[in-house]
Amino acid sequence: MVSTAELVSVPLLLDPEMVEQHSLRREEPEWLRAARLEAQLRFTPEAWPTGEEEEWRRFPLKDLPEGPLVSTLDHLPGIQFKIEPEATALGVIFKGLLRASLDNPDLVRPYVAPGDGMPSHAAFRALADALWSAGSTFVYVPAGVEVRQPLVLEKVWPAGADAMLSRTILVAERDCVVTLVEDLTSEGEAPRIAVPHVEVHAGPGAHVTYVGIRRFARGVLDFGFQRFRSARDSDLRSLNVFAGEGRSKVGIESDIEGNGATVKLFGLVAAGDSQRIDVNTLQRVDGRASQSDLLYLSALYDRAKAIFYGKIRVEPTSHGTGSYQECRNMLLSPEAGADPIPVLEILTNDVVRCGHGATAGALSDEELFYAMSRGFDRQAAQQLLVHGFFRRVINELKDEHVRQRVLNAVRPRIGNIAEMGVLA
Amino acid sequence: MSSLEIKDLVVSVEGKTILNGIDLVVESGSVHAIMGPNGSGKSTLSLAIMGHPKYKVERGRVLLDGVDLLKLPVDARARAGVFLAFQYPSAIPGVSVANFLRTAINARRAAPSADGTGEVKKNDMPIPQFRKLLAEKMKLLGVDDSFITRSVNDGFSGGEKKRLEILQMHMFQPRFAILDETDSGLDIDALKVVAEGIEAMRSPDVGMLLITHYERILRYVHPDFVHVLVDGRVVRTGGRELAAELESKGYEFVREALYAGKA
Repeated sequence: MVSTAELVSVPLLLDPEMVEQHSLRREEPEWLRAARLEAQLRFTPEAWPTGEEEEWRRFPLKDLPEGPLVSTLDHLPGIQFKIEPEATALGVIFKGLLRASLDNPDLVRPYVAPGDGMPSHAAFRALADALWSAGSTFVYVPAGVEVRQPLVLEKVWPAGADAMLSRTILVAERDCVVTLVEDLTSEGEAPRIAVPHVEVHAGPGAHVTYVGIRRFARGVLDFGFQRFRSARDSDLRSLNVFAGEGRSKVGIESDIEGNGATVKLFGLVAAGDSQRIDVNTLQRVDGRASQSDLLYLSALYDRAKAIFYGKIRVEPTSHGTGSYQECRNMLLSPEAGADPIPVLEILTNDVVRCGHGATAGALSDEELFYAMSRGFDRQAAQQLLVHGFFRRVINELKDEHVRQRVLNAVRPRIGNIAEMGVLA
Repeated sequence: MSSLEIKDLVVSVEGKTILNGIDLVVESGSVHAIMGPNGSGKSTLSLAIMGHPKYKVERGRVLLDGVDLLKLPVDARARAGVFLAFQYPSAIPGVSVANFLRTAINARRAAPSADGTGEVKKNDMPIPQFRKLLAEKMKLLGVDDSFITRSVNDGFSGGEKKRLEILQMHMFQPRFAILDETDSGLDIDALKVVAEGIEAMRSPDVGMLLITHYERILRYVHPDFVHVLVDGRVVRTGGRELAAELESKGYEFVREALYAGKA
């Protein structure tokens, strides 16, 4: 326990009164208010990063946006929960979190209590759980149901300085199949905080894909957190695309909690200007013969910097698991930088594989020359190589529309030279 | 009639002079073979003409119908009509052969607009036309559909890489093609297919510079001229019979003759 004298002062004020008023104004049920207040209690000085933590050493917490934490925006304009009628008939729920709390309290309640997770992001998780507002989502897929079409949410926050705090809860019951795509955009240039808090529960044998695309505007400081929980024999894939103009300090945690689970965590970073995209991951591997693999690719322009601090923790109770962490960074300007830091914590001898690979470097002169010798000018050749680099991840997406959405998101940075689609 | 004229070309790599004044004229419609031992400067010649940044041109000119290629960036040389089939082609993971060919063809067809704004006017090849052309050339080179959906040279065998170089040559229809040891690393069947691909490219409108180490490929591709490159200079020029002589006597014979002042 750290004494209060050593703690940095918390620059954000979050008191129970704010939280209660927020919940009352929204006319929320009492149990939901209680969950918010419980989250508020977790927003302690101890939870606030000191800057000494390994995860926070490279991301100074200073000049935080001063806009209000409480947002009175209850719904994002234009948001649509489109879902195939067959899925609704089978009991799939896809709606705003408050709406779901009112309509389906028994389903929401077990999942809405503030969750645990990486200590490094505890403060921001608590903030989102206490004051979440517009853009919060609840998805529930009953056992055995296959949702064929991806559930796609375009979340656009209108201009403003208020914080964009949201929760997404996806509950995938036993043996179901579902893909959720969240495309997050913000308007306006004002400095503001965003904390999209995502929790995904993949039940036994469930097949779950989560795609999160961030296209936040320049002034946004994104402290998002995601936690993926995998029960036995489940198959979980996630892709995070960092394609906006803001700064990100994001925590991503995957917990394998059963035998034979498979997790694949993908990431694409397309950053420029003086952006800083800092990602902390934790792959917790447990159970028998479970697999957890991570692949993050960055294309960095101008003075952009990507920091990746990722840990694999193979639990002492696990048997014969496999895990890997790969982080590749393409530096497209002499001033761009990358800092990939892998950490392996292997707490058992019973491991089939566990490893990591990290690189950061400029485009290969030989590859550029080869492409240019075919008639591409330097810029087009560079676009072609970056596009190919990203394809390694994009090709992992099964749905062509989702692929196109990801390409659309990264296009402003990487260009569209090789987006034919019609031939291959 | 077009010509590729290499005049007094001196090229160095990392401070070391490799080409010591090459003079060579390739007219369209003709095939020139350049033979030489390891380290004689054959690949340097091809890469310097194409504009590899590692190769420094110290002196000389390479004129394509009077235009000095050496003053143009790499891509402009390609668009001017020069094609290089690489000895060691690069892989471009994530970009399919089909997309690569199509985007390259469209990049070559795009023209800077005449108004001097620096904007490029697109002139994309219609997809049906592209498909037809590709199908025709794939048939010629005996490659199937799976070949064009794979990433460019990624995990390709030596033979597949060379086939892709020849497929590109056919798709781009250059005015001058430089084939840098396209025969190396090929088994006899692959060599035949590649050689037939080169022969099929022969036309009154195309000039070819065939760089090779061995006489083997010249059994299938018949050059009009054979040049022998030793220590960065063309030391002998002759017809096909010169290749046979080299094969039987070896390069030492030329080198000895050269330094004895007889070559």
